[in-house]
Amino acid sequence: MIQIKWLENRKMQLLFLLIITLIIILLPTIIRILHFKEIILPGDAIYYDIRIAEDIHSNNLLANDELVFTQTNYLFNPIHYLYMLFFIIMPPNIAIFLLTLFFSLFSIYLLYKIMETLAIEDNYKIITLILYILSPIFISSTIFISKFTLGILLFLLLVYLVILNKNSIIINVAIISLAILLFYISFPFLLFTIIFLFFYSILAKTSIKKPIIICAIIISIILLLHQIPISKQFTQLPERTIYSNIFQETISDLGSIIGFGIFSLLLFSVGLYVLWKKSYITKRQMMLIFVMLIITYYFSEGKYLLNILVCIIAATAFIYLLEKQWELSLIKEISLFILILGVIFSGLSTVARITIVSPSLNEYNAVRFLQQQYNNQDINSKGYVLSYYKYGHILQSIPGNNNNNNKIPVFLDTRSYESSNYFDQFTIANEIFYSRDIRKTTQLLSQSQIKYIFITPAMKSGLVWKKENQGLLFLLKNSERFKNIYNNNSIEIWEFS
Amino acid sequence: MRKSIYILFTIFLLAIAVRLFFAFQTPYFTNNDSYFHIRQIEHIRDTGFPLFNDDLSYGGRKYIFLPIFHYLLAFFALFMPILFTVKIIPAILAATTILLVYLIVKRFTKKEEVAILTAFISAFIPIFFKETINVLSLYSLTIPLTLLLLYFFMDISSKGSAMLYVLVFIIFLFTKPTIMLIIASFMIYFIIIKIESLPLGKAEMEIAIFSLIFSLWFYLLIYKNAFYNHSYAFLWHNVPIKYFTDYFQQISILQAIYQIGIIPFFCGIYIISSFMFKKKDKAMYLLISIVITTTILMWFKLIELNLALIYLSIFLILLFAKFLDIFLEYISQTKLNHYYDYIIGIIIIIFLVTSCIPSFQFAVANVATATKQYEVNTLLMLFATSPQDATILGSVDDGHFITYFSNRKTVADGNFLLIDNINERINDVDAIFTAYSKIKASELLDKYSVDYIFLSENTKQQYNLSDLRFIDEKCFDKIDEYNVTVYKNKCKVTIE
Repeated sequence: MIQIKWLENRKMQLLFLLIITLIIILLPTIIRILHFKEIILPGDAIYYDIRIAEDIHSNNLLANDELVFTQTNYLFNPIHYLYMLFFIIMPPNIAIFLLTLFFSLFSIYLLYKIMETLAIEDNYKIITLILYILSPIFISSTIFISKFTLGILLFLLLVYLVILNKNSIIINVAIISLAILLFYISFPFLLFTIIFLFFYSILAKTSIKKPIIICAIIISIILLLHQIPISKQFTQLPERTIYSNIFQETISDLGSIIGFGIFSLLLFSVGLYVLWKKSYITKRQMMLIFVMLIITYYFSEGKYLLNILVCIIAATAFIYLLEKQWELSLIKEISLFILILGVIFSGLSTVARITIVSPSLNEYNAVRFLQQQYNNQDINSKGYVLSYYKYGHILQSIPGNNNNNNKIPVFLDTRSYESSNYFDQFTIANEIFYSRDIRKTTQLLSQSQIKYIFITPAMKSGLVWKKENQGLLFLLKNSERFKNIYNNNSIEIWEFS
Repeated sequence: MRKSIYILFTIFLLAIAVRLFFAFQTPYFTNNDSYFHIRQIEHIRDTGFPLFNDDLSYGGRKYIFLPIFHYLLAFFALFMPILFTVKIIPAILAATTILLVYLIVKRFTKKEEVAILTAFISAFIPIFFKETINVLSLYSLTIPLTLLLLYFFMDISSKGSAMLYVLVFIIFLFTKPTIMLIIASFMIYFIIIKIESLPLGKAEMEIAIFSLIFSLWFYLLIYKNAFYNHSYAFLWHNVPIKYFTDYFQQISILQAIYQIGIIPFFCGIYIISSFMFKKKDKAMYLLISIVITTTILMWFKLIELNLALIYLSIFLILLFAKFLDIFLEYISQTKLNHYYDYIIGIIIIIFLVTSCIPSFQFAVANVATATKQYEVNTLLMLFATSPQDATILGSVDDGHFITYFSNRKTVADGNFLLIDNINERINDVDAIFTAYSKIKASELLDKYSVDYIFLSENTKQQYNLSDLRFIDEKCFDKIDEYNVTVYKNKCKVTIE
């Protein structure tokens, strides 16, 4: 095994890992700032979260979102309250940026402390953490900050408290509270917590009574809270994930923005085999890992936590391959080099994708123009904006110029798209996008109270339309009912009358 | 030994001579894809780079392919006329299969005459002839590379073999993704070795792991976009549903035997049954693994039928070598030893009848169905007279050929990767050729901005036409100069 002297010092180890984390996490942000000359947060969900946090702060939070045609229900999300606290003292962009750094660095620190407490060898520790830092799921979950980012942190905190193995009431209460909070963040997170409690008791060879009792208390409290009407509305069990293409949706190298690197999965498979062959893992522990895989298959949110396990076992495999005596030493070096390249490539390609994700500066400016346009409208003639659902939150929630707080209501956004209750609206949107029948399209637009249509270059090159003059694109250019009010850098805004 | 080398090279030269004899019967090619390869070779010769962004195919598209075969031929095209390059070099490459079969058989039988005889048989594999005579095909390079890879793998522990394996492996990576079949075969091989409790070579395992990791990483880099665009359909090259059965069809046993060769087929099967879980021989298990893997992939339509049959042929011939070894050994120990030479003669005669004759039949058929001079003349006429941005509609099978000779845009050809809505496009092409209604046909012609319709004999046969049914003089001018019908589209659809 390669020994690096300065990494034998624990403080240096941690510093090294935190610096790598900083570099990886700051890279997409810095590139975006250099490119756009201002801080434009990537992704669409963050804009929704910021808006809700601001509404909570100004006591304007509503049960139903009025800025979307589907009037989607508000679902409790602890991260909104966390944002609200930060927004009191600093602007949202800065707050999100600092929280991104905090979540990423503190997650790495916690994971490091967990492995240190478990007396794991330095080699395994460093490689696990490097694999984790470079994992697409870690990078995406930290940059596209969401409740899952908070959930990962809370889970790691819970794990740390458990492995401290202290019979303190305060720690046990903290563990139970964290578990309940994790339930409200994501149901699979709670399942993973329960599995971990049993997994650890097998690993530490402690009595199974304690995890049983703790789980019983957690479940009882959740059921109790579920009886309270206010709490009940915060609870939503996730629907089973339906994959149209499981590989494209779970492997980052094949398309998933929140997915596993293919080489990490390869190492994970090798690692499982090695652990099993060398009897480092018992049958029960293997079964629990298998259960975690099944949970992740049914509830894709489990990926966030499964990623930690994947990195730990992948590190085992990597060290096994590294320490094994190969007959062909050059082949060994090339193979390990490619594995390292593959892992780095997965991480860096995720970083590259994040730098170009919406909204771009052009889209940002277009939305601000639309906000101004919208403000100048007579209140009776205001309507919804139709665009691809992924632009929904961006259109609703991008902060306006000159403290203009008027938000634009949209026909569809990501939250309504992802809920199965609004399939009709999704169908209507598709009919409008693809139909060349002017009467049908105008009828649907009128019924849906759509006033504006927001079109980006991505929508015209595959996201919605694959050809020029397809469907609505043809009607926009050929019908007097549509007026082009904005056309800049291939972004178009059309007004329907 | 020296005598064997002379015989081997005689067989090698004979195979080249036979191939070139058939290839030079016509200056053109049988297979439409050959013209795609020629365009790439010429582009590399002229610019140093492959033509990845093509303005002509499908009216403008990007290609994803591995260019080493094209670079190799482009190198020779610097010194030789293009026609000689594309006819001679692939013939030589395909013929090297003979030398490699000899080397592999020599390695596991240690017998000169068995190796020579097997090499001779491998010179005339019907399906390999069909896919490489007068066809510019990647198989000419991938099959020899496969054999070379296996040759080095079989002796991977010896000095130098590992490096040579890596070198050949990297070249193969840049040729065709068929390498994944070999890697999958290694996995099957290891499973069989484990079941048979034979010692598993560390070097073998290491080289297999290396091959898996390297190829996974490499093809991920190359084909990532194709996977993004086509999802699972990428595994089947985004072949439209209509052509799926042609590319990945099932085949009857009789057809398989005919295309593989009777002797290699039955003797190879006999060896598989003898060695599987009975006699223990690592070399045999390696060959058997490839046969099993190819059969499984063919069964699940993950590999083109023709490629599967070629692989099965080659490896059943190698297994046949083992049969021959055992059989001749047996003969030499019995009273039939007196007739040893006659028995070999009988084997050769049986082989000539069952493999050579079908091979020649395929070769003759290939030459007969090669591109006709009058079709080329028609396209050259279009090149001279049509506007540079004109679009010519032909059948999918004529696509590359039209592009090559006319240097004009086409609507569709046989390279489907990275083409969106391929099923819709193919259905539209079919609809145009089979349309009765001028309005319907004109709408579709307008959709693809078609200026000319090229109606070859091949197209007429495919659609069972004597002529297009929607043609009228108002909208279409008929050009019939070289006995190939071309229609010029004069009308465009407008919206009032």
